[in-house]
Amino acid sequence: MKLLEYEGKALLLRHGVPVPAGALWPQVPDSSNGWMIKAQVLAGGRGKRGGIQAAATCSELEQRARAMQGGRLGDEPVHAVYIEPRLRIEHEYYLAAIVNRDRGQVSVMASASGGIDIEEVPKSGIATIDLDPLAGLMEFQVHHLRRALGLKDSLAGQFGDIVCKTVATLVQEDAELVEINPLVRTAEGQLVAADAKVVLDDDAMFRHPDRPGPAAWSVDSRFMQRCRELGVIGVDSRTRNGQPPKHPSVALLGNGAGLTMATYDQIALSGVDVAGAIELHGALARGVDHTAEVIRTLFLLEADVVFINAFYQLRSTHALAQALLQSLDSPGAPSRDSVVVRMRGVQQETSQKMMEEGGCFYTPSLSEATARVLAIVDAMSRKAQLGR
Amino acid sequence: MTILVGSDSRILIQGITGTTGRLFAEKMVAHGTPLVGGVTPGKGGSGVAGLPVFDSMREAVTATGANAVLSCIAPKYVVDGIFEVVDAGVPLVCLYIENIPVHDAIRMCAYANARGTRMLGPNSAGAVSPGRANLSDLNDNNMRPGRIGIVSKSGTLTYEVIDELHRHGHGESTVVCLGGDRVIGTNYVDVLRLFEDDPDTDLIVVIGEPGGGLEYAAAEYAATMRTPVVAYIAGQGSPQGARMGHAGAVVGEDERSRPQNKMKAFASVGVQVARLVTDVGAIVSRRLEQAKAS
Repeated sequence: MKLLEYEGKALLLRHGVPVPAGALWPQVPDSSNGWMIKAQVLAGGRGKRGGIQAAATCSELEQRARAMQGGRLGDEPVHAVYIEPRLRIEHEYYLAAIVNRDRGQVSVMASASGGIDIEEVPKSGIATIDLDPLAGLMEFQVHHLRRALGLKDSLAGQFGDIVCKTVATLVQEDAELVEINPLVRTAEGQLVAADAKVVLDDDAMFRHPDRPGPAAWSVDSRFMQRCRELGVIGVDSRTRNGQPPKHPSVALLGNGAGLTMATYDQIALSGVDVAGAIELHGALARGVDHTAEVIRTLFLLEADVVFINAFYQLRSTHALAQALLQSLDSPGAPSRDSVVVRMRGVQQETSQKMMEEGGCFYTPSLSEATARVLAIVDAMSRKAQLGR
Repeated sequence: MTILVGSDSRILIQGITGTTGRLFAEKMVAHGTPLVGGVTPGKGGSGVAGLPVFDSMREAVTATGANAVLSCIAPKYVVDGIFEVVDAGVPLVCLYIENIPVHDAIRMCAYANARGTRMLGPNSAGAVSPGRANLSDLNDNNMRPGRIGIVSKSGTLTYEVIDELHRHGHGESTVVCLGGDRVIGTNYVDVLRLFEDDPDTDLIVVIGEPGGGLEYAAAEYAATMRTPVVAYIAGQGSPQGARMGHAGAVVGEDERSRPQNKMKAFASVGVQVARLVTDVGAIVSRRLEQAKAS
């Protein structure tokens, strides 16, 4: 999960990376050089969209921070306003420690061209080192980065320290990305992390029980929050483009990431709107009632068609069938003729019988199920057009 | 011949006395997979499914000559468990469990690679050569011995592709699931190399997904292969930034993570690419016909 700048900087600070002494508005840190007012949003490029502003006086600060607080930047609400003393910047560098998936290692990237999107920097302008996890960060690698950045010898100590501590932040905080862009050299000859983008590993949350949940979670939809509580993976596609949800739309329930994605494609690539999806993520093992609650959560998407696609190898789909019928009896449940069920598993005939007796369309074939979903959507669209 | 697992496999289950381990043991024995025992510290001397349980991996390997391990232990013991398997010199281990912290995966992969153990996973559904050996969570009743190889990150998508193959009259030589996590021990190219040398595999289906860039290396290698390859990449419709269930399956901001670009990479080297999973069977049949004709 992504952290806001101030959350990321708190982690960097904990590991000794120098960051400006900021505070969340309405608190204001001391400064002799004015302030920077920074909208706390997850999206990048906020500087270009007015999300970072300078203030020379207290009244300017007050006025601009107030205007920013509680507002929006693009599609995203401003979660908080962060105030920092303004730095006297001489140069902006780039430094990032990342989990390099393809190499299966931690990589550190550095560039003398900081302060801009790293994707815009030519490859030749970026120095990279890969860390063998059995060896760790070596001195010669830090030298390599420092030379590539053209940093003076007098900054070698500070730089080495920051690289080391950035890697420590990545590994010890179980992060996938710790990006400092820019890493600033100030007029006073200090290297300071002026911005921070940190992405944490969802799977390592259990190792950090004291760490507060990310602030950005609080604006997630009720559907996403409920999915998290139930331990399933939710995808809410309704408001991704800042557009109101379209109708008719389809809500999906699948088991396993691959099958859920493939099912999503079956519908979305036919040009039909998918409101969202749930990947069961082993929920079935937690019983019928739990699974029924997961399915009721799917109904929060308010889609017009519900498409259940489950394929198990060693498990019976009996419990899933029971859970579905249970959830369809709940208030707010969709009508049964808008539910399409494809289930495969041990003793699937029993599930088939249950589904058919329960008034739901059942098929063991994904092609048939897809065709059925698309036919229902088509009929709904026609009806809506006639009604107009 | 098959790859990774076959008639000469001698399999151990790590955590054999747990619920999952026991289920796998019973399934393997029932379907004739060459399971030779299991390991659970403190339970040495007992038995599961009529097979011996050992206290340590080294002891088990010495006693049974095992050459493959299915790891079914609780998440908090996984790192130590995998290090123990590697330390015992086992050439193949499948790590079935998911939700492993990525920095733990990095350490495990590095240690396994350094010591010459091939690790499938984390979050791998395993490997199976139907009718010979099943080191996976796939149901033997849903498999059919044949001449198509499959390499995939996902387990459930593999079930679907197998179903597709059967609908078109094909069967499987070996099915290999790499795992859906961000960092995994074995990649597509490792498996494609093995398939390329397998005289009993006529065609390979590569199943990819969003996130990372391992598929690009696979496309590059496929261009050099004699054995035909068909590719299917899931997640073309997935919204950007959403975790689709696999920790690794995220359409990111970088172009490389996008399924469409992975499909292009395969298509550009002449690999036929299925748009939907329900197209895979027909494309495989067509590609086999072409290969026969040429």
